[in-house]
Amino acid sequence: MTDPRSQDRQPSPARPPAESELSDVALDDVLEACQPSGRELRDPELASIARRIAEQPQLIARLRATQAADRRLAEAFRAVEIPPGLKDRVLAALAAAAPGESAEPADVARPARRARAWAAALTLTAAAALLLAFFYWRSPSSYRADSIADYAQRALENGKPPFRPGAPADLELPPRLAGARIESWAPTTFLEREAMLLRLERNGVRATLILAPLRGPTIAGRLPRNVYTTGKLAIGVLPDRKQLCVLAVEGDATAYRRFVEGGAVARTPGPRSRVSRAAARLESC
Amino acid sequence: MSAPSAAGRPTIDDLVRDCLTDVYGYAYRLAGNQVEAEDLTQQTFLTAQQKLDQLRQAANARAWLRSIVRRLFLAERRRKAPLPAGDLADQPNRAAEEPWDGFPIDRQVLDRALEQLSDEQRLVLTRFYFEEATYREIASECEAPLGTVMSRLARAKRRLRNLLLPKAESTSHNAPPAAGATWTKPMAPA
Repeated sequence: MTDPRSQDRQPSPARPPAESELSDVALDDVLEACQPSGRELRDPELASIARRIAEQPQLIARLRATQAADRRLAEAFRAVEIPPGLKDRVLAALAAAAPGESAEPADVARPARRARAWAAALTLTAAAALLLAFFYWRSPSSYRADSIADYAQRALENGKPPFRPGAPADLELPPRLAGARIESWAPTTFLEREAMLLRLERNGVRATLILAPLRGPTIAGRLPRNVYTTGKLAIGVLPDRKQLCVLAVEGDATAYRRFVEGGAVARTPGPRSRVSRAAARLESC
Repeated sequence: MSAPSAAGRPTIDDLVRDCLTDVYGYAYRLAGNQVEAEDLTQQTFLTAQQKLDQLRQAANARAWLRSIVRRLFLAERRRKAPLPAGDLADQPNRAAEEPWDGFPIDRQVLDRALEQLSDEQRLVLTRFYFEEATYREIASECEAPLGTVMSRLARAKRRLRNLLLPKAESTSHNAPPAAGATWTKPMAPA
């Protein structure tokens, strides 16, 4: 039995003379491009291809299997759940943006003017809220744990920038990692931002920390809290109001927790001054 | 809920009531994430509200709203920096050698697979699967030759199936499918 795909891709004497622009399309592509209903195969332009399929049982089988898979995929594509409250949010946005329903009289009465002023104020507020929402959500990823982890993994595996020994000046580690030793660092990009890669060590465990600026004040609330493991690495996002802190610890989720919790010991609660940070660094040395 | 307009045209409230699920689902498949899909949905209905007079027949409302979603999605994508186009190389038709019939399509797995596709691939697949658009309709809208659209569609479908199917240890991509109406693995040589 020959493979219909390889058969199709080679110039074949069995191919009918060019009857349309579709005569040069690979048979496999035609099978894939037709809807599972099969109605397109009745298209006169595909007549010769339909004849070829009808003549070969293996092509018929392939077509049927493609159609079966397509039917299941179409079903899965349409099975999308609406987030709760979306309808109300959409209706509220529409109400806020709705133009006046009736034509205005030439002489606008005072209450009507007041109502219009209120409507304008509401519209402006809604516009401002939409603008804020736009900046709030305008981010290159949905910040799910796996997408952050993917970015981190790529930054760690593919970047390999030249590392400089020691720590950069004026560096502020997240409070929970203040006791970790910074071995080396390198500038990098992460989630399309200027970022910094730091190689850390704590109690014999090594980790890499990615520090990147937060684009908006509210992004922090959307970052994933769970730890994502990728085989050799456990990756998580540390809570920090000032910067995005993605920590990748060599090992599993337990190693990650151990690494992070090590920093919680003997930490002074409350805001830390430059002096206390310097003291912490001295302690870690 | 407001009453239909005098001309028998649906009101914006009618459209939200009848088409919200469809519009959101379509936007979700195009965007690949909930946040952007919600945003697209809201913008779509806001646009529809402004251009309601362009909707001639209530029966066309769904297609009309989908076209707004598509336009907004493409406009947004054009504004953003170009994203990596993904794997543009032709994909081996792994699905042709794998058992597909009994393989469950998990929603989250599908979501993750779609995330890995390029915007262009997601768009063409959403049109094909969600909208049941024919290759001719897709080609007509994007003004591309039929053959190009077919190849693009085939490549995107293969890539999606390959992402959905569990990783195989070794697969012969050139093996023909066995006779019968299901994709079956070729028999190992004796």
